[in-house]
Amino acid sequence: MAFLLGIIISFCVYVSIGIFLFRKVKSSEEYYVSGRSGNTLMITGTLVASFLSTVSFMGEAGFSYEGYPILLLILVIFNASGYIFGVFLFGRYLRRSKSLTVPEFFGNRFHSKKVRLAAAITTILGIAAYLVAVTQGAAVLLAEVSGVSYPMALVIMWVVYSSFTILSGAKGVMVNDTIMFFLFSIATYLSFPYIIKSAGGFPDAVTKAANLAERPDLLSWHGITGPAATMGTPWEALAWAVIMGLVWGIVIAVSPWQSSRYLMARNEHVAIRAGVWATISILTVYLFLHISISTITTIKADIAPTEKVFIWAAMNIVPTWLGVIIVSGIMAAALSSCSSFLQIIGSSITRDIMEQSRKKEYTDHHLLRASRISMVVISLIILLIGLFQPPAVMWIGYFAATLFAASWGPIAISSVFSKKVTKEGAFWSIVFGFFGVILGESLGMFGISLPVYLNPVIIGLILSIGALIIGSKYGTITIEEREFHANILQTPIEIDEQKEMNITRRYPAYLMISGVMIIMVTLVFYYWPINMN
Amino acid sequence: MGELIFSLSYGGSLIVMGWITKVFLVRMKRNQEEIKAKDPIEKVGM
Repeated sequence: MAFLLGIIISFCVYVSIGIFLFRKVKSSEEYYVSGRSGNTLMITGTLVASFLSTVSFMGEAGFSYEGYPILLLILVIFNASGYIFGVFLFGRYLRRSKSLTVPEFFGNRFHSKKVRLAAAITTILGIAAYLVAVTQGAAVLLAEVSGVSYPMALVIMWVVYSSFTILSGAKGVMVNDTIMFFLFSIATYLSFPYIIKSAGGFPDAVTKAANLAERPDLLSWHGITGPAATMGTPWEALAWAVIMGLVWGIVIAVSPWQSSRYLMARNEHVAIRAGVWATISILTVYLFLHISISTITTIKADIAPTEKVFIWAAMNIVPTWLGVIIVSGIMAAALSSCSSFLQIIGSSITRDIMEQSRKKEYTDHHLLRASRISMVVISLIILLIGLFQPPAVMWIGYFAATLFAASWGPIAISSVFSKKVTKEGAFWSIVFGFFGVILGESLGMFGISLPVYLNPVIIGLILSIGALIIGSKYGTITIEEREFHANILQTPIEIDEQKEMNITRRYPAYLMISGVMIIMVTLVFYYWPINMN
Repeated sequence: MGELIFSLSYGGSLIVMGWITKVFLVRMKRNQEEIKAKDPIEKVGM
């Protein structure tokens, strides 16, 4: 009952914020990019909250529990770097373009409706699949906690995230994301000592987990390997983690639900600082979460499905008040991603497809109304798919998210750093990248298993880069493209630039200090206990 | 051995990121100074 009450209260808060901010949204710029007024805290909050979802707290937690916590953390080393490379190599240029959506940026950069449409369609298809996976994960959790049926839980989830997203757009999403970011971060940090204590206390809990008969090699760097395991050999496991980490790094750097957050930043310094805090937050949250999860194996080694491991911990081994925070935190992680995804899909449908297919532009008032209507329609479609498709939180999420690494990665970076890319190259790069991933995934259905280094995303990336190079041999670069490109390369100088730069210059030190602290935490809470024998 | 390398690399990646951020910021500052040198009238952020 306490869990349900916590969830209901948090739902009421999110919806109330949506209703309150509904009155404040007066223009499409406020609805799409929150009036470009986001401060460092809010951009960090929305970056991390839209990234972490049920894929992280359920899918990846389950994967970790099955025997791969360290492998997952190795993956995180590479993916978290996507925030630093992303903001410096793409995000800040995207922000300078003053676009309302990322497909709009690509369309303007290559002066091409075709490129914009291709980017918009990949956005809608990729994020819709991801949204289905995350919503289903949250519905599984809600059904488990509340006792309502899975379809009913799905409907409740839909009502909550759709309502505040449709009402208040990016403004409400940003505020709620920040609250949710705090909620699931607190849940992760606070659960750590309680789970360790329940598992036998420190350092015994970690030592026991490392020597558990049911999970040999659980805390080794490669996790459980062998013919019967998910991973083959230790080196194959490492190759998987590095490749997927790099792929996820590209996802973080260029995907629409991450890069579009920089469009909301007040200035470029805010975007950079948020990228730094997001990197630190992701590495810290994952470290604490996965060390906790690995010790749960010593309390109960047969939780099924494994995706429920953190929820099981919340309901069985921590105090009720903390369990309420954990369950509400996981719900928050799911809702924040759902709302960001819905907002991006709705914006893209209206701004990049509906408006572009008309001969004239929408007025601001019409754009706002059309955006809300398209969000209602798309959220209903997502609900129906969620009802009829069986849940598979982690793998659908991984597939949908990594689509963007292949189809957007090469074009995003070259749109900033190349003067030779043409609209033909850009268009075919997006198309080949997208279908390359789908082709790679489809091979599995015909019984063809690919080696780790030929992951479907790698196939997509190779095809995308090839199409970019070959396609750019055709077509000409227009004056509009050259002007737009020159404009985004122009570094902005703020009115109080010196003051802003002085603050931003401290951030490398923040990263390094956090790095030293995390090394100490890792040595104390992981390396030392597993080497005690 | 692999566990020790991991323990040092996980936080170590943040130290590397710190250096990378520093390099990017130095280049950003240099870029701004070049713009200011070319055009003494200050441009306000885009």
